[in-house]
This record gives sequence, C-alpha cells and structure tokens, in this order.
Amino acid sequence: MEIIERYIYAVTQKLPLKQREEIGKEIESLIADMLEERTGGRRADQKDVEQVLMELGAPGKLADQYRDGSRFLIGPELMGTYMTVLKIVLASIAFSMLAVFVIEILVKPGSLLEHFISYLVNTLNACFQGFSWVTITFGLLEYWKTQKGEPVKIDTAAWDLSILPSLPDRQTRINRADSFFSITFTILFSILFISSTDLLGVWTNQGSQNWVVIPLFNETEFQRFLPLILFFLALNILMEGVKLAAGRWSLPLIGLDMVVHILQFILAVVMFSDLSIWNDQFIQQLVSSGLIAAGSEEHDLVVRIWQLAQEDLLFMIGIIFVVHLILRGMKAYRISQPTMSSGTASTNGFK
Amino acid sequence: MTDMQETINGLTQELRRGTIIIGVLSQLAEPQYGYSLVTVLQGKGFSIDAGTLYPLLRRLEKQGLLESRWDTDQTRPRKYYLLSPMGRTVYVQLCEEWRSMSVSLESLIRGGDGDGDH
Repeated sequence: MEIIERYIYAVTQKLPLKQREEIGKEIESLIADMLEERTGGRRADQKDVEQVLMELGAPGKLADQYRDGSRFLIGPELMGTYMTVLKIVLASIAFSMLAVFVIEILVKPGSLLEHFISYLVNTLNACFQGFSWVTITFGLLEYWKTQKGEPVKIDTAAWDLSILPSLPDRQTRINRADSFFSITFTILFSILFISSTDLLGVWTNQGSQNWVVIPLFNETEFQRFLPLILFFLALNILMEGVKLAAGRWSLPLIGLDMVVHILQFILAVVMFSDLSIWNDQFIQQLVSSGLIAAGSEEHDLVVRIWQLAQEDLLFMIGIIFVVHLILRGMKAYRISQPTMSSGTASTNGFK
Repeated sequence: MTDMQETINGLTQELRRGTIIIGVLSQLAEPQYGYSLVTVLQGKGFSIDAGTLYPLLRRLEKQGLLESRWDTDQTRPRKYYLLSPMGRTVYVQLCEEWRSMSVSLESLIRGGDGDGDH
C-alpha cells in the first residue's frame, strides 16, 4: 500500500544513506507483522494500516531512535569555547567598526547621516561575516571530532589524577583583554591596508577642509607585500583564537607563537631591508605642501629624522622582536619547571 | 496533580530505560525476530514499543552483543536476532549487577521506610 511506502520513506530519508535500505526493510517487515496481529489473518484494509502507522508514531521520532547519538552543529563540549571566541570576535569587530566610523567622520566631513548608515550596514555585515566564519570553523571541528570519535565510550580505566590540568596561575593564564585588543587592532589594520595604504602618512589641512596626505610608503612597492601582510594579519587572528581556546600558555603554544613572530620578523626584514618601500618624494612633497620651508633649519631636522627613521625602523622592530622572544622564552622556562606543590608529585607518593 | 503525574511518568521511564537491555537480552538465547520479541516481552508484562526495540536491536548488534540474519524462507523476509558469544557473557554479568543492585536498593527502601509500613 502506498501509505506504507510513504511512511518508510519519511523515516529513512532522515537516515544515513548506507543504512536506508536495511532499515527500510526492517520497518516494512515490522509493519507487516503488526498488521498480521491486528487482522488475525483477514486482509488488512486502509483503516488497519492507518492505525498501525499511528501506533508506530511520528516518522521523525522513529528516525531519531535509529540514529546513533545526538547530532550537533556544535556539541556541548565545544559550546563554551565557541561562545567565548564568538563574543570576543564580535566585540572586536564592533569596536573596530566604531573606530573606523569616528575616523571617517573626522577625515571626510559630510553628511553625518550617510556615515552613520554606512557604519550600521558595514557593522552588520562584518558581524555576520565574523559569526559565519567562527561558526563554520567550530562546525568543522565538531564534524572532525565526531568522525574520529568512537560512538560514546567512557574509558574510566585510562583516567588518572595526573591528567588533571594544573590550575592556571597568573604566569600561564592567557589574558582575554589582550586578545580582544590584538584582534581589534588587527582588524583595524586590515581595513586600513585593504582600503588604502596611502592613508598612512602625514596629514595636512589645506584649508576649506580638504585633507592632503603625504604618504610614508611607496604605494606600488607596498602593494607587492599586501597579500603577505594580510596573510599575517589573518594568521594573527587565528593565533588569538587558538590562544583563547587553549586558555593558558603551554610549551607547544609558546612554540607556535614564536614561529608566528619569527615569520613576521622575516617579513619585516624583507620589507624594510632596502629603501624602495619608502616614498622617495616624501621631503619634496612636504615642502611643496607648504608644511616646511626648503633650506630652513626645520627642513634639515626633518630630513635627518626621516633618514634615521628609514634606517633604524628595522633595528627597532628587531629590538621589540627580541624582547618578545625573551619574554616568551622565560614563560616557557617557568612552565617547564616542575612546581613542588603540583598534584602529580603527591599522587606518585601514594602508588 | 497532573504535573506530579508527569514527573512520575518521566522518572518511571528513566528507570525502565536502564532495564530494557537486560529484558531484551534475556529473551535472545533463541533466535527471535523483532515483533515476536515485542509480543513475548509484553506477554511477560514487560511492555516495549516496536519503535524503541528495533533501533535498540540494531545498536546492540553494532556493539557486538547480538548477531542477526535475514530469514527469507518464510512468506515474508524477517530479520532474526540471537545473542552472540560475547552477548551471552555480557548478559550474565549484567544479571549479576542487576541482582546486587536490587538487593542494595531493596535494603535502602526498607531502611528508609522505617521497617514495617509494608
């Protein structure tokens, strides 16, 4: 009877492809058995069939019973971390967009309403983007986790007191506020680099509210590095996400952090090792904009500072980089030192 | 009142859920097909939905406690289930667990009742 086939179809279409045929056959034979008992040999009519199917219950519920375990986009295990990362990412986005809004009002005066509307639209858009990417990432994590994991199996024998994580102290805890600021500034820089690198420079007001920017960098040279810079900015956000998820510093995490910083330092070396990245017209443009007068003492000073900045920027980046590495190294050293009060030491005594 | 009844129903179901597996395993020393198992269990006062039993049988087979084969000799094909050797061992163990559980629970109930209300 058609209604039976429709019922079976309604159940099996909600099940994994591989099991559909077999389960379909099972339900078919079950329905036949139930009909037989109900009619006691006489031919089953439409009403018998309907009663049997109603007794079997909603197809969705039956399909649920057939599925092993519950299915989640993001399961209870990952939910906590997901919410934390989502909150920080959304807060960072909202904060960056607000900053962009304020800067835009200052730089391009005009219709406040227009700015405000574009601010709202952009913020909404960016929040959706952030939400989607975080959710997709965690959805994939959940998927891989369930694909790998055996159907729920609690292995109590493998549990040992020594696997309890030690309490995070102030040394090893990862500060969420730091991550928030790091993500915020990374987003701000990304927006800046993507929208226009020539905004990075000296701003002068030429009267009647027209701003002229004298760029610090050679636009075309800078563009060559843009994909790499954006890649590292993305890497930075990813790294912050990993740190947030971990919640504390561990040796592998410190290693990863160091690798990212070393790569960033290499990029800086490549970018600033020769002077072509800088705007070679900088001084002339300063003079022609009327900011400094040619031949004045001021002019010489600016030229000296400009040259020093070009030569020594890499040196300063290097110092910051080395200090960062030393701080991380000290952290790693402190983590690797066993503490006397740790739980493992005392449990070993009981064995 | 209905709220309380609902709570009782929910808790009873939870209690029963744990016992269903023992009940099912107990009847599978001989091969049975799903619906005959429903009738046998119901005949012994142990009611169970076919919609619960069929998926359960599949799960127990996946865990290695049951073996199954389709019998196509009769008028209709039917899937028969039987305890696997491992299933037999597991069943014996579960019975032991159940007995010791029921003894200690019984003593708890008697103790809590103040000995002698019943």
